[in-house]
Amino acid sequence: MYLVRDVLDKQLVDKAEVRVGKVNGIVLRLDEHGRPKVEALELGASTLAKRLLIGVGLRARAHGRDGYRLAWSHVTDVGIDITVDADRRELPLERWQEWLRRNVLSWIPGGLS
Amino acid sequence: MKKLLEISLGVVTSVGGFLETGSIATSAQAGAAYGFSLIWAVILGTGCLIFLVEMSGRFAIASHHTIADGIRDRFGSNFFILAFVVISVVNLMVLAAEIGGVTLALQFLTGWSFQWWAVPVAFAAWLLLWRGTFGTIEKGVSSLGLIALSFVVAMFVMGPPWREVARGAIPSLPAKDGWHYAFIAVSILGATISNYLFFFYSSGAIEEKWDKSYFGVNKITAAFGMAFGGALSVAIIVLAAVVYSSHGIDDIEGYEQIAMILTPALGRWGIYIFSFSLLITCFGAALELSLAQAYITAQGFGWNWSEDAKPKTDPAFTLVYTAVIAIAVIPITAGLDPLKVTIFSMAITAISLPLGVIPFLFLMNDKALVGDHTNGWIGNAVVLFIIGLAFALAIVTVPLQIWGG
Repeated sequence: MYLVRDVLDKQLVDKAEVRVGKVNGIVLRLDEHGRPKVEALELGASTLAKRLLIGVGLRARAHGRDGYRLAWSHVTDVGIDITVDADRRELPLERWQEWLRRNVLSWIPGGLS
Repeated sequence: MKKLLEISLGVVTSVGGFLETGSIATSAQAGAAYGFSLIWAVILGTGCLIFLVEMSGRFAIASHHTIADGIRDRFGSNFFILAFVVISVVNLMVLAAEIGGVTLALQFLTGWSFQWWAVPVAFAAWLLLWRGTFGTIEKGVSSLGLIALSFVVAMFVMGPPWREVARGAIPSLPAKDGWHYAFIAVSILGATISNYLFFFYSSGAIEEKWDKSYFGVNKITAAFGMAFGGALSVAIIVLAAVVYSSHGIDDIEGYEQIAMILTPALGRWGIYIFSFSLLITCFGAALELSLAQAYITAQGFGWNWSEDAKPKTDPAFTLVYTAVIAIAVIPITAGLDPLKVTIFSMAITAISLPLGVIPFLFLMNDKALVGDHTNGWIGNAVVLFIIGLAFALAIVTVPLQIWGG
């Protein structure tokens, strides 16, 4: 498995096959022997923003809040999609959509029916 | 039997989806200014479109993912965001043009200014997306679009000099006004090969749950649907060439002039049939564009999406089309000439073309995504040709816009 080819930017789905975001970043950590280990997947828009800044040569500005980190132990399958056994209500996408339901859809007729 | 029904529905859908304000306006302009001699541009554009649409469908069937998914997956988030921003701007412009087309049709039918129709039309489109399903929208609206076949009927009624029409299928250099000729040719290609169609078509294949038994259906739908659509554009060029030359018109200044092209063949019903064709085809295209924008956004950022799902289930997806319709209605409400918006949006479609076409070369040869259904050498040769064409179009559009538009 190659992390960039097979994991980065892939679709994340939960156990119910619901799409819960893309793999926006990968967090590696060195263990006590200095070997890199995949620790987590990073979700959320801030990671995308950082990658964009680095991509246009503004690495110095790419700091600030880390994205949501989903521990690698939650990953159950790596195929065309990446399946995770996390509760989607805890993930940034669904939390944002819940906000949209409460603050936007509730104002539109038929939004919550 | 079921497949046969699906194929015919698919072809009807494509015919309805092909013709819209862009192809109507650019074809009418071409016919007015250069007679039959730009028919080749429609044929070239349609040929390219058939290949790309077939690939979009094949990609979706083989990988269970859409073209937007594939771009994010293979090219990373930065390229995706670049393509996303450019294509979104183009989609908004074209959507404004389509809303403008519907409102003009209503102006011809009722006599009330198009500006007043903009908000009601946008609201109707939004309501259909908000409450409807993919099936009702695709099949319902597109079947009504068959009325556009009256352009073909009118062409036969007019009985043009067929030998000259056939000569127009071969590219030729104009006797006058090279810049303008090239500008119209580029606009026709822009109106024919539009990025949003690939995103829409590959998403449609997923929405309709096409499985591995649909490769054949996909090929036939792409080929016949787009070919029939192209035939409608050719019919408009022919009608424009015949009708305008007898009236001494060689430049289209307003949609009223385009609205009369059916009158010599179909009599006083002509204007109503034209208006209804314009209304329904532009309305269909507006729905497809709004959905395409929601598809690209949701797929690129990994949200859940489906036109069949309730807004409550996928709020982010539904709010994208809500927002784009709300934005695109502004220029028409403000009274910007829909014909100008159309011509301009077709030209910028041509600029954005490389971003949508280059990914095909990589996605369609990626065994990890499409398995054994990669492109053969013909498919790859055609994609390379289209990429070359797309770059040429993108580069010449700006100078042509200045000197030829």
